[in-house]
Amino acid sequence: MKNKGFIGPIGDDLPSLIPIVFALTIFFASFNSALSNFDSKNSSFSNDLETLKVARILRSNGYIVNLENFRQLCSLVQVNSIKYMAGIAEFNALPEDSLNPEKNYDFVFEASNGEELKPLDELFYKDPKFSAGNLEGVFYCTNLKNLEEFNKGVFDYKKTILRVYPVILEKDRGNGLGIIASPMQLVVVSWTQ
Amino acid sequence: MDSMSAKGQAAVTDALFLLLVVGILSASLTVFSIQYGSTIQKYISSQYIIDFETSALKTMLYSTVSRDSGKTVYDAKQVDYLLAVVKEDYLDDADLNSTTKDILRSALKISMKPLSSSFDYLFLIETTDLSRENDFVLIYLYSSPSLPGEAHLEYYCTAKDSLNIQRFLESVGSFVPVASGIKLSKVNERNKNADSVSAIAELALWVGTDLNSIRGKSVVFTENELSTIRFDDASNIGCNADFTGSCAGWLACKRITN
Repeated sequence: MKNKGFIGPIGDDLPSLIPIVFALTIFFASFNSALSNFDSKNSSFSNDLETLKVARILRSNGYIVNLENFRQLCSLVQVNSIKYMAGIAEFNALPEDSLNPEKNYDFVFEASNGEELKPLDELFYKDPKFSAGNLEGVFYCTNLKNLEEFNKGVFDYKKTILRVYPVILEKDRGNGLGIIASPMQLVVVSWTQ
Repeated sequence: MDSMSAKGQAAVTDALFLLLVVGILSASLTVFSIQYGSTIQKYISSQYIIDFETSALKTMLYSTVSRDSGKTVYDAKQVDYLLAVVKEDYLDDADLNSTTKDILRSALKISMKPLSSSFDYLFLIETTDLSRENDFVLIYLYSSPSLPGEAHLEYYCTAKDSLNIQRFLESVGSFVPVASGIKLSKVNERNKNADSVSAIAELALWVGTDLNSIRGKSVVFTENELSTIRFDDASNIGCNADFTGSCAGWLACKRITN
């Protein structure tokens, strides 16, 4: 009678194991979820900051004298954690609210379903002194080894960041009329795979 | 009660307590992880806005404008920086004429184009000489429409003083201001020489807000009414008088229609 219902030291604690296992499962699940959330947000912040860094270097004092000046600024950018494509575009190249890449998908890069993107020499400003048909005179800056990678549809990637800044670019009016300081846009697109 | 049976019940109760504590901990962890980074995100956004505004100010003031009327910068024989045009216009009567104001407005709108559909902004040029009272050379307000889909509204405004502007900006919510020092010149009436006048160009940006929803913060007047506005008159329409009787945070504006 003394041992009635007693099924051993572990057997007697079996009902209490159920909430313990349940508690441990909840704890580790939320812990794991929080960790991955922290990691994802940190990575996103890091990408944002790197993009700002690229833009700050390229923007410099906001006054770009010529292509050589821009290329010099481009050579100072040392960013590897993100992939970026930056360049100087005419003001009418971007519509209002350019910060919304989805909304301006077609406007900015003339893309259709992420397949055919506008060639870089049409997308970004090209110094008229340079002959057409190549990227020699184009105001662009990137860390891509293969430019085709950009043409695969940057907005299909996990997170794409678009930053636009007004800048001044000196332009030669030709015919001996001299130089003007023209308002242009520095466009920086960055993404991670 | 049997002692062995009581022992088993205690173990279940302990486990349920453990489950309760772990549940609370997990919920806290989840809430914290969701909220994590909102401050950093705000910081990054504000950094971008500050960079953008600084660039916009510089781009606007250093843009080339045509000095030959009816010609663009590409075919005009004479061109100059916009800031030089502003200085020249200010020199004679310490004021800007409507053409210079419109050129400034157009240059600003071009610079602000990437953000202008989502944000409102206030641009002003204010003299800051200690020898005289602060004087607003220009106050331009770009504001969201009351109804979605309508065009943005533009105003030239007047304000009593910097505090007045500050209170207006505080009323529109979170705003990001940047300022840049500029030098203007004014003819000295006594010796007819050009005296240097210190001034600031300031640009403040905030998320688009219908100003009508902010009671008594900006009122639109006709040009004649604007010239007779008294900022210490609490009977003004929309004036939200402070303890000194001054219309706090109140901008008197004229709608720009062209």
